[in-house]
Amino acid sequence: MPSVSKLRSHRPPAPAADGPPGRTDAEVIAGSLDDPERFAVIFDRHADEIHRYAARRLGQQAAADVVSEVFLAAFRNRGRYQPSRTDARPWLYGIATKVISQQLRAEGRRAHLLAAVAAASPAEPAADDIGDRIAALRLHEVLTGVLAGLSPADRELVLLVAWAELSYEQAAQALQIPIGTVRSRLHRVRAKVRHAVDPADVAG
Amino acid sequence: MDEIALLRAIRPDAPEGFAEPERGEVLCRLLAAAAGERAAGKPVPTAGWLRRARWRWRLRVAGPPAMARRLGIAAAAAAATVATVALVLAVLPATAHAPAGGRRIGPSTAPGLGAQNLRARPGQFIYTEQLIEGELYIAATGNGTHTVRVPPYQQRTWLSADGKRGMASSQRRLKGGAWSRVGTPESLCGPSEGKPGHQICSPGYLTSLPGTVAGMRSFLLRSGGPNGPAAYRLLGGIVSNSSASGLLVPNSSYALMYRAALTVKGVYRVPHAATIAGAAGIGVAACVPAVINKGGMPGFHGCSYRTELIFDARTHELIGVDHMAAPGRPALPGSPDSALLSIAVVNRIGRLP
Repeated sequence: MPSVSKLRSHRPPAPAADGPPGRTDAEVIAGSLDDPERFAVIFDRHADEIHRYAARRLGQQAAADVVSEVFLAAFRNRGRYQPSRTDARPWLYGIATKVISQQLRAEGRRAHLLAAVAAASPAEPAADDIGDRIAALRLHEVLTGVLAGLSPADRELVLLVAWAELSYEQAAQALQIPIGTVRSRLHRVRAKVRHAVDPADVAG
Repeated sequence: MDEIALLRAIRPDAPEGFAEPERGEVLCRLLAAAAGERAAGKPVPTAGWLRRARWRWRLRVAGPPAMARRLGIAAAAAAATVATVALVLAVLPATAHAPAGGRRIGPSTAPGLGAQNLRARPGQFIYTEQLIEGELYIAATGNGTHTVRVPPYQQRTWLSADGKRGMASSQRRLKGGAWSRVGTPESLCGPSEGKPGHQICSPGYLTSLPGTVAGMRSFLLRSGGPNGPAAYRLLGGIVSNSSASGLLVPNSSYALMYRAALTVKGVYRVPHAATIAGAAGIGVAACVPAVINKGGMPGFHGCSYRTELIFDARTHELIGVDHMAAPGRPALPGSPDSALLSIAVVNRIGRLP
């Protein structure tokens, strides 16, 4: 009777699809080069977050398509992933940014962002006072205007930081720009926000 | 003033999680890409020792649990006439399992296969058509035993989607012949344990399977019976909760089953698999524990026999179940091979898609 070990020599043992819990994204991606299905672990870990970001940017209906494109593109390009980056989120957000931009361009929906923001009800003002509510609505309108007035590059950056809650370093990785550029651009955006909210502030 | 916080405050609401079925469909596309890459890459050697000689077995008393056993009524009816415990043995040439593009035993087309997430409503029926081969009965007679081989046959099954309208099946031999109904339509309902007077019906359309790899793994291990190594039980769990048992399962659940199987020690990936009908796919396989073959439990003392489940590489539907043995090995009981030829949703028993 053939031994088990001998039989196994005919089929390489299949590694666990989930991978050991302690494995970093970089290790999982490296492993997926030999074992493509292992890339599904990256999907399990980050699909929810990318979907949430895409839904905020383009609405829920388009979000699933974005996630699909993001992970397929990531899968195809995983050979170029930098092993030193243990967290794949910035990389995935970078791909998502490109996919979303392409969709916006393709559909001629530069104002889609505004529509998405406008469609969403502004954060419920905590105050009951009607004056505060009006102020909150006014603030919402002003901030939406600021976002709309940004250059596409600045807007993508600020949304990665403000909506996806990436750190400056992660945003730099996602957009493949130096972290100094991130700081200077965000400084510019902050100034615009300050000025829009309080026109008396002319520091920016 | 924190300007970033202000911009965050106008962030639109979004769902916390990526909900099914869209999530499953996206994952299926990703896994299909992975399978495609593997298929396009360097060829992985096939288990020639397994393909050269093919012995297939069936042991009715050790078959897959619950639904699968129930669906074995066709052959079981015949078997019951000759023996209480019937074994089926067949020796087929290697060409019987030609890979895709090779000879097909069954119909060359597979209507319904590849369909994206068929859905059924209560009152409808899940229709499956399968090619089954490799059944062999050891019939007990007054002078001892003799072997009865069952030629390959096609089996059609109608299973109530909600379980409340029963099931029926018919079959015919491959070499011509009319379809004959097997037995009488059966109920899918039974008494509820612990609740006298209550009935529980087993649905033919499984919509509430676990949504995570870990959850699916636990579920399949529980479904696969109490005995034997985890790999063997898990594959049994898949057979019991899939088209191999006449059930309709969302593709996303199949994708989770495939992935869950690969998390179990002893389950092997088969990058290039083919059903007995010639459909190509990706597979998972595990050794059949010898002591189970002998009827004893539990244990694992070798791997001369293996079970292989074949999934569609694109949709991850289960499309075939295969059993193989190393050449020269003495015959041991196992299960017949099957290939899914068609799956559809119809409105009544007897109706074809």
